[in-house]
Amino acid sequence: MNRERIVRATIGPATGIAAAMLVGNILAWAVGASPRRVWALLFAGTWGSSYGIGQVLFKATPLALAGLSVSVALRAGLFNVGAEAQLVAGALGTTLAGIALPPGTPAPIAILVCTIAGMVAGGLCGAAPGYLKARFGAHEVIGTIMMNFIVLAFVQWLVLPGRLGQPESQSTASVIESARIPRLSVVFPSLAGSSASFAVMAVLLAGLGVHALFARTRLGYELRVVGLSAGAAAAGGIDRGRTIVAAMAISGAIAGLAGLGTVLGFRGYFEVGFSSGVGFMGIAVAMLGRASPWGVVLSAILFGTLSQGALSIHAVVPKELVDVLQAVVVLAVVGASSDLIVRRPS
Amino acid sequence: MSLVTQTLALAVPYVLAAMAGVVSERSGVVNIALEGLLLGGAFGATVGAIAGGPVVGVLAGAFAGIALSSLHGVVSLKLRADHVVVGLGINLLASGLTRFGLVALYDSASNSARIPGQAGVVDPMLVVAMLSVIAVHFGLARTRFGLQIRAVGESPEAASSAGISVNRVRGMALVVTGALAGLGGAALALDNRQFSAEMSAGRGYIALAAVIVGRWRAVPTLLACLAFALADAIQIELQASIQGYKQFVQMLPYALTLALVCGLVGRSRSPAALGRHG
Amino acid sequence: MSEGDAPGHAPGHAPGPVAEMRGIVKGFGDCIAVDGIDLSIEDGEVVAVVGENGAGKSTLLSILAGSYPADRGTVEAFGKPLTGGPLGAIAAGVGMVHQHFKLAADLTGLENVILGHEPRGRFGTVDYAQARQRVAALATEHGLDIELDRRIEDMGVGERQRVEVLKVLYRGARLLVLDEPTAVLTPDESIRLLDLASRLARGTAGAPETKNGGGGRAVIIVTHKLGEVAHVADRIVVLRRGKKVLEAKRGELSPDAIADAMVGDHVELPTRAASAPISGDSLLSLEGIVVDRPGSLAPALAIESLSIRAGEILGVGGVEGNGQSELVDVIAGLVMASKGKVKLGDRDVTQDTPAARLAGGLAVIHADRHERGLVLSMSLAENFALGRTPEFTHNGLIARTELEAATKQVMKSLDVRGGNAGDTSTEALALSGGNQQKIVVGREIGRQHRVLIAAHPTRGVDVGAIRHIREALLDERNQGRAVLLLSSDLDELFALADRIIVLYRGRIASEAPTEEWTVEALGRAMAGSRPAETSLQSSPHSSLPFSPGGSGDAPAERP
Repeated sequence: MNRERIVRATIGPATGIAAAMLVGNILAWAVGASPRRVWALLFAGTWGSSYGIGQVLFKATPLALAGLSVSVALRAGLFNVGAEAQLVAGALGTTLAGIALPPGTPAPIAILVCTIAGMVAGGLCGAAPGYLKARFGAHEVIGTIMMNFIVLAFVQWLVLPGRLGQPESQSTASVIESARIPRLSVVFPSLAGSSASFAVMAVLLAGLGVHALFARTRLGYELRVVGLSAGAAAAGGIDRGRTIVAAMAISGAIAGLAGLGTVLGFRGYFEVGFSSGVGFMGIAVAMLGRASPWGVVLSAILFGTLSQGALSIHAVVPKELVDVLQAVVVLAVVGASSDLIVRRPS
Repeated sequence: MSLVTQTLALAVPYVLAAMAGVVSERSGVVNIALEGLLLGGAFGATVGAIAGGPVVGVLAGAFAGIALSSLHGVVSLKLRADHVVVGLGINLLASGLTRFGLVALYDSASNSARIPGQAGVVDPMLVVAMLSVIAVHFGLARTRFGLQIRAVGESPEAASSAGISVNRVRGMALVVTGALAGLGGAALALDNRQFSAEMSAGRGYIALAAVIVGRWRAVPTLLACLAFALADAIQIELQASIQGYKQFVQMLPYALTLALVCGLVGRSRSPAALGRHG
Repeated sequence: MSEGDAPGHAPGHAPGPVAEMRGIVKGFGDCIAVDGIDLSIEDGEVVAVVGENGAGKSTLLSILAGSYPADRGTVEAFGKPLTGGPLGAIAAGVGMVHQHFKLAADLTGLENVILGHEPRGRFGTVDYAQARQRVAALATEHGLDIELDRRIEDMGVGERQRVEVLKVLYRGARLLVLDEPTAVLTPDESIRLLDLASRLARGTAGAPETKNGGGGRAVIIVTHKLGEVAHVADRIVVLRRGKKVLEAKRGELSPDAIADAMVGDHVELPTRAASAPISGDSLLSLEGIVVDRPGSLAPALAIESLSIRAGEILGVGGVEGNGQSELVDVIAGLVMASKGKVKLGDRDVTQDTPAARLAGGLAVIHADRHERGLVLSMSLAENFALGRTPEFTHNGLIARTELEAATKQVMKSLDVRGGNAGDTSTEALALSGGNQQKIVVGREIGRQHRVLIAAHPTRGVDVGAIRHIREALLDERNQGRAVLLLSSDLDELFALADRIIVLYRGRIASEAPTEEWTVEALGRAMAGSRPAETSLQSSPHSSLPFSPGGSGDAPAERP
């Protein structure tokens, strides 16, 4: 039994990676580049240098959070395609809190307040389509995607010169100094120059939180039952509506943590369009990570590698290659790991 | 352009994508991928039109749609993966491939070359769109293929015990879906005279919403599409006049979609076997 | 293969068996469902294949219908080996009417019948006119009363079954297999169906009865209800645990002998001792309850007054579709009544959520253990917590050790088998139906409760488990709880209930203490007529008010 489980767990990701390499090679050939050169450049720009490693970690952080976000919703049987909006809302919330705090606030409190603001903002963006689903039966895929468009449009309106935006830009003012999260290079000098910060801790904490949620808590149990069997949930007295909203809110809140890395741990201000696409990649990350927190983290590192590597390969191949590879991974993983269980007719 | 003509012109991609969605979902395949099919069709049409004129463009668009939709079929039908995830994957793929193509072929991250030729694509495509509604309506109700699609979407067990191959019917339905949505994308690109990154802008999802609101039937879905197209037309008009609140106006179609899927127009039963593998 | 019109084939029809299965063996994983069975059927015969749940009947006949191949053995139909899966079987003239209908709900009866064999019009259309003509003629010929343009969704169970039969006839079936056909019918509808089976086998109504070669068909009826087929079957084949244990012609053996063969050891199922008059408090009562049926003026359920006292089992008879599921749901809180009150003891719980009612002393064994009772992919321990999470939760966290201990305890006391001996982390999916049901029952009765609803608690469950479950229900009663027992098994109602009510069209058609009921009267009440005055002794395995005699006679009363 155990061997079968291991095979089942790895066949998806293995197929995904294999398919990605295959398609990557084909596309590279198609534009006249040498595949080997592409992979070499990719590696050199990521794991080939400590700066690269730092950048991978930096990019992997919001990806991991988006992936965890999607995976929590998935356990409850919901497709959260709105991580894009939740990430942005969370980052903006974090920033606004960081701007509003009095300059002398002690660092732990400042960071905590900003974190909570981000989680609340993200959580609301998740809870809204969740509520619409619970109350009106509105399809959450459509709901979250529409939220993406609406929230992004709203943020674009908000962060313009004259409102929240600085003159001549689409970014906000900076947060107070004590809200900034130090770079990893402070403790690991080899990572100097990279943008990775201690915000990566957020991933670890979120991962532990998600694990504990499903392993130990009643809410996690109820989420799983709702995701597996609506009939059993109802018969067991579980409030489906409340559970759906809770799942989407938690999902959004996790995505809302992204601001820690992209704002507090990076440049200290919010910029429109900065982490565009991360929310969608979160779906790929969750798929590859088989919806287990540790799988998601590993998978985020893989996608972070691709994302960072895109910059290095741009000399020979359009960096959009990486976006294609993401999609290939999703399709390959999901095709290879579908559960084909044959049941005996009773 | 009057509001009515504007609406009709805008409606073309919605209607074609929505009819594509009706065919797919009536056969039991959830189709989140309409967005990607539109995008792929638009890019294919652009490349085709630049190379060989509008007719080649339209055919290329349909072809691109069929290719993407067939991939959808392989993964969701043969490999029995979850339809929604596969649909999202197809959308990601279309997005990535088209942007890759943009850079590879036109050296730009956002716009292709312009499509040569004059105006006048809208009218033929409008006719095609209306014909598609008629075809889907009567096709489902009166043809053998239509009966098989409906049976497969309601009860794969009934269909297979009648000797019908569920996956074959769904696969063929997906080909039709790909063709129709690809044509929708072609209309989009040809109307715009060029391909821009992510130019589908959510129309595929809105088309899916139209299918749901239209209760998976051709004519009500057409009406829903017209409503969305009207919202789109209004949004474009307003953008010109209202400065400073441009983004709110842009939100209009999406907010409308959200409101409509909340059942403001009443919920009803989806095809019974929607999402269920054969 | 022709579209199955008039019978009356070539006079030179070969006299060999219509179908012959030899040495069939079929297993699924570790479990051998069919262990070396021979079965043959002659032209014009009606053969009943009987056995308990799990005996292998459905599997064997599914092989005949081509649903899957046998691991070993041969199958021949009409002189030729059977190949090509279900399509090959249909083409060869074998048609199966499944227990769970294979119908597309949104399509009409006509569309379902012609599916896959549609008459073609031009340009790929369907020639509906021709289809309607052919199908209507076929239906009339066999006396099948069906509204062809009605959607399956809008049809009652009996009509849907007739569509299934017509479907099979339209495809040219000359050997019909009916799998548990009477499971969902009222006694009256069952008579009509068995009538039909008999007519189909021996020749159409109007054609003289011929014994063989008359171009009739052959019919196999698979059932676990021996009583109803006893007089219609020419031959009875008894299966037990995958083997054929007995084969007899009609009249050769007594029903009891056959029943014993079905069950093996003579298992005496628990029955309640005669009860003293019930005098406890009312623990569950319904007053003026009305549950609406969406899209219809007539309510799904309308109960003026119903009450169950401590130490009482109230049996509810009636066929599905007459308000039974609404009754369970309105008490459990899964459906809201538009009028009326539900009370648990003194408390009015009408506005309470399901969770509140469970906490207030209600336990429910739902009819569908796969959809409601269990989450199949979760472990046994996790399933045990379903609906009982408050008990095992401290500060929002689930107490795993407590939960596992409680689960183990129940598994021992109800003798639950499956997975790795007593491992509570086994998936519920891995257990057999009977063992799954025992988990559900153990979970529900282990709750703090005063009222238990048991909806079809022994459906699809093997005899050993039935014994445990019946014991548990009687125990509940003896401990002073109130039990609402819904069952389509009349034997079970007689054995366990103190009082029986019958639901018909959402209302209580009749109500009386068990001692005053007869099988015949129950059958009539289920079909909507008033109970008769006369009483008949009922033997353990006859579930139908048959008078042994004419198979083609219509019963004296019709609703």
